[in-house]
Amino acid sequence: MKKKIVSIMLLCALVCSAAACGDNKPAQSGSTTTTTAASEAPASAASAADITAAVLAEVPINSAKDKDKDKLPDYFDGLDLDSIEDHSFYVCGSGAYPDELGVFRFKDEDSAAAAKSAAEKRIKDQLNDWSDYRPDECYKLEDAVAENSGVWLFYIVTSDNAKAKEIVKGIIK
Amino acid sequence: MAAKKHRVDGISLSIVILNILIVAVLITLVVLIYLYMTGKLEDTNVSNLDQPASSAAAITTTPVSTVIAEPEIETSETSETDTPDAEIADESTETEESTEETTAPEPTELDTYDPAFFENDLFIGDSIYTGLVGYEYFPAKNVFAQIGLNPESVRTKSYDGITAVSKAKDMQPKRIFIMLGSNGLAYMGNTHMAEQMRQFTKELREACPDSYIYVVSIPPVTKDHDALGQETMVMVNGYNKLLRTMCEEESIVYLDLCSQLQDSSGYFSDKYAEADGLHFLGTAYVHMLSFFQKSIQL
Repeated sequence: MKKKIVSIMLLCALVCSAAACGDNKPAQSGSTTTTTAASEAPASAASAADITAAVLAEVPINSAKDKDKDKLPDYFDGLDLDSIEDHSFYVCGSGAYPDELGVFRFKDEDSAAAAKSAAEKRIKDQLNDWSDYRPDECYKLEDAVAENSGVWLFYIVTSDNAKAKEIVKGIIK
Repeated sequence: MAAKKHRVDGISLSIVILNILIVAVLITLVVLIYLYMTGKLEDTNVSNLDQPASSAAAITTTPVSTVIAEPEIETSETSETDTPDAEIADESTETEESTEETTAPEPTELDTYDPAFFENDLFIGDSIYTGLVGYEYFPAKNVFAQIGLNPESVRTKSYDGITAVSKAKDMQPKRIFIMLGSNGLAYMGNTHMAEQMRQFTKELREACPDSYIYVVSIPPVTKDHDALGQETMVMVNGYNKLLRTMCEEESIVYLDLCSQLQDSSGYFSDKYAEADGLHFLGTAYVHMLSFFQKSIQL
């Protein structure tokens, strides 16, 4: 009887070890379970907030402040708010850096394309303002990203635009 | 006589117990490793997400009367060293009522302000004041701020056809807070900037004869930022001194925000300073607004 008990306990220990080894990816700095969920979820299931969270976990923005939909016209001229079905938009709240990150899902591709124009204008205006003010920060704007993927628009002005874009494209396939 | 050994079904009891202990330890180790791998055992990293002032104000707000009346400006004699005490000049008003001098409020650890207190006010500034909108302390209608703005360009630069003076004229705010000069420290000359501020306040007075104008000292910089040589504490202190003198000459209220944000060494406190050592964290805005409100007693 005792032999059986010991054997069962050893078997349990073995099973637990096998289970723990199944997920051995080290936690990323600042990452959350939401991040993991976003990177594994198909594009149709991931929300805009999931996507920006995934980016910010890898490419943070100082003093990041998220903006509600009603604040978007302060940043993007001519944006049709009614066509936005989901969004997540962050700016550097302190004004110290030009970093901004936005992911938007529109009701149709035409709306997404129109918003891309607004995003490109934003980048151009920002570059104009920051080139005299902080030229050392302009690299973020010079290779900024404003791209459509179907009904999605992603807008990236960060310290590592390439990495941010890679993360977004990994989710919005 | 040999001691009897406890035996159970052919296995020594001590061996059984030992095996159980080993298994228990193994299971514990496995669980700990699993928790570590999934980050549940790590300290949560400090988020870069700053807390909006609205939540801070909501938690700490003490109701303050917003009855519109003549402001009583508190004055206090302070030394020229870096102290946290507020230094405020008498306000010049266009009305018939006079101001009273009272004891300056004691600095408190609790920063509170009533957003409604400022709802009819206008904040004019540079990129630092863009944070008032960026952090959503105030809507855009209460702020005229642009990156790179300085005491000279504020008089002429327009954005979407609107200048600072035209915005103030259209709004006729109860109060106007002006904080300008950080841009220009490195290349404009303090005397020139102070003179531009003098002219700008005159233009505002003409456009808004009933508005109370407050000139705010420019903020400090951190030690690291100072070391870069672009904007240094020597420059900051020099300009603020000229600004204070100009305010005294023009009978304008001077709000010494700089000393409110300094640490014991005279540099921008890490509690308030953004990573670049010049701009504000959210905590700085709350402290600033709390200081403004406490300094302007109704």
